[in-house]
Amino acid sequence: MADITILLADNDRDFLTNGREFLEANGYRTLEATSPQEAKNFLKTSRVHLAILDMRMENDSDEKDKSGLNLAKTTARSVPKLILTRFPAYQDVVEALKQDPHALPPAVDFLDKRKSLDDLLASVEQVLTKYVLINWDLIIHWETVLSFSRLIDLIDPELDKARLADRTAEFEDLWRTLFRQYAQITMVDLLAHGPGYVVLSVFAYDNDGLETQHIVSCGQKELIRAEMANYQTAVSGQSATAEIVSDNVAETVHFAANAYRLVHGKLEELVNLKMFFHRHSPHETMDAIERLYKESLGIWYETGRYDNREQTVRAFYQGWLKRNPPNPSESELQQCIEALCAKTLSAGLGRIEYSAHFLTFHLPTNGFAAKYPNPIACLHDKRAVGQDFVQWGRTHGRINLETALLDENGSAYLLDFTQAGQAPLLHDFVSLETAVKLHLPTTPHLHNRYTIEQSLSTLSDLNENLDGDAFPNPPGHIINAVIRIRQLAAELTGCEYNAYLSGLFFHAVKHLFTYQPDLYYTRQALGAYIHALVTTAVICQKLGGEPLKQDNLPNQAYEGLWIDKINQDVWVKGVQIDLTAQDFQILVYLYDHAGELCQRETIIKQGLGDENQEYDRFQEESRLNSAMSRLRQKIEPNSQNPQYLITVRGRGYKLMPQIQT
Amino acid sequence: MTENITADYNLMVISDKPDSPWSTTVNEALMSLGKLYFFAERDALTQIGKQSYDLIIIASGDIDSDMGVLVKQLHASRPETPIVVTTNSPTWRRAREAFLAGATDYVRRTLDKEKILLFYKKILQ
Repeated sequence: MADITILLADNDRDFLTNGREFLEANGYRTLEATSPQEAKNFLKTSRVHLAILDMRMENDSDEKDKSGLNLAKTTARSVPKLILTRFPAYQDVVEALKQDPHALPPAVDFLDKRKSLDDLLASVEQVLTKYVLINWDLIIHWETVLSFSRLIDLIDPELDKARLADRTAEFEDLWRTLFRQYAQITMVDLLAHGPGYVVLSVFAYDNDGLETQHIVSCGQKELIRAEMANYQTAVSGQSATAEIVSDNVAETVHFAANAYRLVHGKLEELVNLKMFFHRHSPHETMDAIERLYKESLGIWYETGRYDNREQTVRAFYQGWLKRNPPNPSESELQQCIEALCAKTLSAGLGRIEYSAHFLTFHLPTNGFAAKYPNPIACLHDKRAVGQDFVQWGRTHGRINLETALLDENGSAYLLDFTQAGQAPLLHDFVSLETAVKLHLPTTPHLHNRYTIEQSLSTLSDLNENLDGDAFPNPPGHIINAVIRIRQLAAELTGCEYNAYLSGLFFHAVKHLFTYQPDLYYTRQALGAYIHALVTTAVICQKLGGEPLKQDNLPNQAYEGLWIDKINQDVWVKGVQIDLTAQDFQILVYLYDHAGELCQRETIIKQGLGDENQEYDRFQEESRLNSAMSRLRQKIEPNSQNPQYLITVRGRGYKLMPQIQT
Repeated sequence: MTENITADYNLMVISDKPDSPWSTTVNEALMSLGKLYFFAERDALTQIGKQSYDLIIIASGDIDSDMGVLVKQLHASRPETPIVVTTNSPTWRRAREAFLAGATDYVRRTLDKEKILLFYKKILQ
């Protein structure tokens, strides 16, 4: 049943009363305003389907008073309006009714107030029929626990609760307009959401039960309008490859919606990248990632790309962070990280020691500790991260685990064009790599997250390979996916490694910005924050301008493995390593014979200090094996593929403190 | 600096008085915009079906039949084409009728060629 609200605005209270009673007797709800300001407030905040405005709302005697017309021109243009006046003039009619190519005209009818209320009613009914295209009979069925009010909460969490009922009703009007030609819609799933918008899968049925499947972006009006503009620029221009097409659009005062229809494929057979990753083999996942970038996005990157020498990667991302709140201050961020470190410890996920200059990652097993510069310094140090110039072009801007749907064969359907536009081409790649690393691992522990980042940090080129199969799954599967993303970034964007790392840094920072110390997080969510922190620290060290050095450390400490025998410290690539006394002894022995083959028996006797004791071969061999395994865990980037502590099969070991390149 | 206008628009002018001072003035003022086609009212609907036009100008007052009906029919036939109703004697009722029928604008006629050119050039752009 129709639920129409009409705003009546007139400084003549008698007319208002008569008009209200008449319209309500004809089944309409009314709102009354006696001044332009009051009418403006209603139009901006309330759910109004039609506004009837008196021309002279301030002074009936003043022929210059056009307050009603001025209000119609400037406020809520998506709401159709009637102008009433006792003093009609053709110039006012032209001003009110003249067509606007971008919106409804200020008014859609102009009436002589001296006429009867029946004439007014006839005009009201004509206007409602022509301009208020709400299908009141549309059946809206929910296959999800969502509701319109819940969606409003996602779109506008700061909305004054007093306005929620009105805003929810307006949102429902939007959907009844968007799908007005159908008999029923079924709201199936929330596919993605971000600040100010949501993306849903919707099945629509006509009167004969014929089904069409839609992906609907809806939310704050300006954002969704921009999304449609981005879609038209980026996607519809390549209609031969477009997997989704725009089917319909609708707007209300506060909201807009774009309904897209799938050209091929069925929505119920599509899954997002996160689900695809878990359901398919690593090989299939990497194929799907390749198809996403080469088939769905490849044509975007080919068109209109250019070398941008005016804006560094850093400058782009600083603007990007500002446009995408929250944006904590430096001191707030310090507090957040400190709180995150404390929460990590209390959750039993590992120990991260925080100081103004360093982060030290202590791992819960085997006493390993790795020290890195505090990444906040990199964020604010202009010399540090992102001074590169790279190729720019058209990017999606929000490639993550939710914004691409994949079918069984790995063909991708892009969603959410709210952030599409001109950006560094690497943006889409670092975006997905960050999402894969932060949100796909099922283990939240610092050790696991650190292993991924530390392994990746051994690479020095986007095309360099790291065999994820050498790692247990996870993180092996994740590492394989990341390597593939990087290789595609190199192939399709030509960007340099350091620029890519800079992009990763800023994406990780963005995730850290969302951490709220006062909230309780699941272990999985904490794991993502821990990973973001590790990422920023590792990259900061890799890129951060001049190396952050300890006092008096020689270069060997940063170039490979170095032992400070006086202080009994071990350093690997600038990171101090904690060893047990026995492991240190063995390592020192090998270090003193660096590059030489050291036989197992000699190591046992010299290294384990058992020279004078009876040598129980079996027991001591076992001890040595354990010690070597522990040492590799601590000093090697990849203990499965040692670079420092080399086994000479059947004979012994050799230590190579400086890796030969 | 004189602006050289090169355009290739097709403009339809509906008037039963093609030799009137107004028709002559409009023809001279707008010839730089492209081709002007003058049709009597009885031929306009037939012609609109034969080719598309970039703009339709109706000399209301120079036609016999109901302007609102004509505008409605033209708009139904070519909804994308702007329709301007011109008149020597504008009234608010006629203006309302024109707009509700689908007109883009409703203007008092002038014989100022520069004003005519500026006005229609803006609509076409």
